[in-house]
Amino acid sequence: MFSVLWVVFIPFIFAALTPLIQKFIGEDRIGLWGVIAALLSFGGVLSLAGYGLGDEPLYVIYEWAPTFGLTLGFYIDGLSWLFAFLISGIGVLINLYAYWYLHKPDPFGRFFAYLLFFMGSMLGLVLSSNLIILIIFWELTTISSFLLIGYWSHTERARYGAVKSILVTSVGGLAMIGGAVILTVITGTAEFPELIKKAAFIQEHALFFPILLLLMLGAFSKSAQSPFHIWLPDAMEAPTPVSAFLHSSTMVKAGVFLIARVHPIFSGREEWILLIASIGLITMVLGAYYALRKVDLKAILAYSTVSQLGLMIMALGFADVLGAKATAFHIMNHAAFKGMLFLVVGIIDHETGTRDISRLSGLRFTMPKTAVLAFIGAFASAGIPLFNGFLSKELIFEAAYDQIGVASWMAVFPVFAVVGSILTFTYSMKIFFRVFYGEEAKELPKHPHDPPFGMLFSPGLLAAVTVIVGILPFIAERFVNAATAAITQQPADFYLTIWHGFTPALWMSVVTVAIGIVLYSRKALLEVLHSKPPFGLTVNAMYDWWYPNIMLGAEKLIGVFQSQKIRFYFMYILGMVVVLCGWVLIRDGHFRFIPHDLMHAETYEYLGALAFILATIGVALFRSRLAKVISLGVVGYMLCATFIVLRAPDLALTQLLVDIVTVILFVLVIYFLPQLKEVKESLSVKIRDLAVAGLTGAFVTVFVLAVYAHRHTTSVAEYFLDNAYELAGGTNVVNVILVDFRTFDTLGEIIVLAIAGLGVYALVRMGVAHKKKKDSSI
Amino acid sequence: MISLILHRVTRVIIHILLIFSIFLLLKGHNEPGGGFIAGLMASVSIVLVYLTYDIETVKRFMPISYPAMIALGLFFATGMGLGGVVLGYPFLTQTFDYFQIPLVGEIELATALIFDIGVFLTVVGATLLIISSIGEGS
Repeated sequence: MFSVLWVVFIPFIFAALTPLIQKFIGEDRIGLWGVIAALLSFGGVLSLAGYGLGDEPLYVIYEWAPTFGLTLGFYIDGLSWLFAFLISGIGVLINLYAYWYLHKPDPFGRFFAYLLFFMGSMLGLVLSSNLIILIIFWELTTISSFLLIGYWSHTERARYGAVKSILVTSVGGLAMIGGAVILTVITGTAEFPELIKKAAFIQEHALFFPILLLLMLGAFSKSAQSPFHIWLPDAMEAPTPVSAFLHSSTMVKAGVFLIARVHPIFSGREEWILLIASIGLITMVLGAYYALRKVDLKAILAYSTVSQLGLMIMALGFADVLGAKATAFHIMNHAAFKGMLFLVVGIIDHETGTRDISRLSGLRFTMPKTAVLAFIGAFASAGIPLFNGFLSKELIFEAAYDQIGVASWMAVFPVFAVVGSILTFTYSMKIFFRVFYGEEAKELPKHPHDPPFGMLFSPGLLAAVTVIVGILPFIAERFVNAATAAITQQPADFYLTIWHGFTPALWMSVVTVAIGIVLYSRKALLEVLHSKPPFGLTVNAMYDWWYPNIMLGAEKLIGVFQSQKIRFYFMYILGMVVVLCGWVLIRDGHFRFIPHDLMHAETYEYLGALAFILATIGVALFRSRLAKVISLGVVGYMLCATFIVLRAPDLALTQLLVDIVTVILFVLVIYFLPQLKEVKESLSVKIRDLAVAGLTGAFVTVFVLAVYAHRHTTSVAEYFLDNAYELAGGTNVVNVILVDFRTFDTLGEIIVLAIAGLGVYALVRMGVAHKKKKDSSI
Repeated sequence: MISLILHRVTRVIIHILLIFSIFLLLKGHNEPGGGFIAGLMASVSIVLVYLTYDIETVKRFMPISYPAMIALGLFFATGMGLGGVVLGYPFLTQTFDYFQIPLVGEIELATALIFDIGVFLTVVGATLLIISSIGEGS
């Protein structure tokens, strides 16, 4: 029970403690702190393996704010456990790799704090049992991804990439919140196990498609599906360990995870197949095509990731057991080989100083160990037998081929799956042969050599997994079966083998490799693919047009509200109060005025009220500031007197003291303020101000009379009066309300007070420092 | 201009005022008073010293950093709330009991007082911080 919270919150706690620990163990060694956090989390995940790989999922709920029905629930089944296993396991390797990868003057502590922050968010995302909680963690991963992409914030490209990623994924995230809200409203629950039980109801519902579409917009934008794929290549400005972790093996799979998670709820209607399989298919082919055109190794891998995510999403779109199984297997395999390829590219970048494929060649002589790793990664990505990528890709082929039986038009899926795979094969070969074969490259920024053991360890381990699973696939059987069972909600019992006989899928693989070899070896054919401009109007161009315009629009809109003039702020606030409250008062017919019911007032009370009114008019009319302040003081003391008459000593005391403090503050400040200037206002401005002020006054009067007419309804006051002594042991009800019944409010108030105090302090100090600087410069 | 009467009187009544503010704080649960009022009372008393003498005198009289006072106040308030959480109650749960003390008789001790002390410290800290920084800054 303890370990679920442990798994999710250990990274957060460790991230928060990073600055403190850094002081003790030094910046150089803070990477080890990250490794320890990841190891602890990984250990927690392993201890939950019984639920993840067994038949019975674990469903725990922690009460959070039970009064409002808010709970923090975790659901560990084959799917979520598989993801948690990958996230925490690869997290350990990435932290280890980054320990060697980073070098001065980059701030190490910040990097590892962000990385752990991301890891915790991602684990929370996959393990939560509740759609709303999932979305909260989802947005946390967006924020941490933003911070990590912008880690080298001194470069323009990093800032551009960070902003782009957060904007594009937030658009999807907002849509997703809409979908989640509609779903929660119609079903009354956001817990996945409950939603799965109501799957039939949801599929019958008129709002089925809007919900599906909104949720999928979130998933597509996160998983960089076309046309939202544009953020991922620009996210490659992040340090390479981040690209390997977030932008290939874990975060971008959040969309795949969401689709798999809602698979038992939504799949079964045609819209599912049409929407998800089609988008996956388009993205797969486009991504592979773009990858082939790129010369930057990281850009190739970025588009390759886009394409592979499309492949997985397409397979999930088939809404059958085989597609689910293929996806589950490919998620694992892709995390291993693509994560590893990124780390290898990181090594190449680190040791040669460039990632440009046209400048690199013949590295096998100088970096033999790296070459072996790159070979494994590229061949797994290409889908060559004896590497894990082959196995899962063949399963996807098989699932795609089966679709022909469903409807004849669905033959597009196997056909384009092969097309995409041919392109994938070609760029994978390019990654390996262009970089490591041919003439030994000269004039590289650095003299290339194999990296230290620490940097080879993580990709080496992933390479070992790639090969071992590729040769002995039964090792992965339990993982895949458990995840498949979770996606389809049916028991799954498959065997994974290399050889299936001469199946259509095998022939599809043969065709892929054959055409791929032809394509790669014929320079002329490659040239055709390279030279053709993709499209006249690209999504990127649209983004680049949209971004500055939306910023301009936002600035204009904010300019209206943040006018920097206190007069307008007051007008907005008072105007809103009058309009909204007045509207409700009239709409519900609450206004009642019972003259004979009003309290009888003594003569001295009338006199007091008159003084009150005169003093208020004085504040507006007096010309000197001091007279205004004194007049305002009179208003305060009259209010105080009113409280005394109405027998509210606490309020009177408070009002009195507040007034004293206010007057003192005014006197302190007044000496330094410039003389009041006579401002000639136009008649229309005067009328406008008079209207706002007059309406506010009229509204408050009407409001108070209405409240008074309704005083016979039961009020909360009686409860407080009856229970103050019994429940809180106090006879001063005002104080009991402040410190016992409504403690939370009071806590909020003193926090506001504290912030206000510190704010004034900081502002004044800044002003003083600024002045001193100015004086000294003269 | 130095007013001799004000100087002399302030020296004497400042102590009375501060003790009175503490009285307001402690009595607040059952009679008019409480952390907020007491805090304002104490602030106003110290402002009196500030107006009569100068900021240096205030600093000598009360050598405390105001931001630290605010922090301490919030620490008391939230610490009281978290104390309940540690014992398994919701955040900010209050309780009270009556105790018999020889010679004094029955007195009531409430956790609300701890919270009220937090309010008191925050109010004093924030008010004085604002007044002193505006006074100093200008």
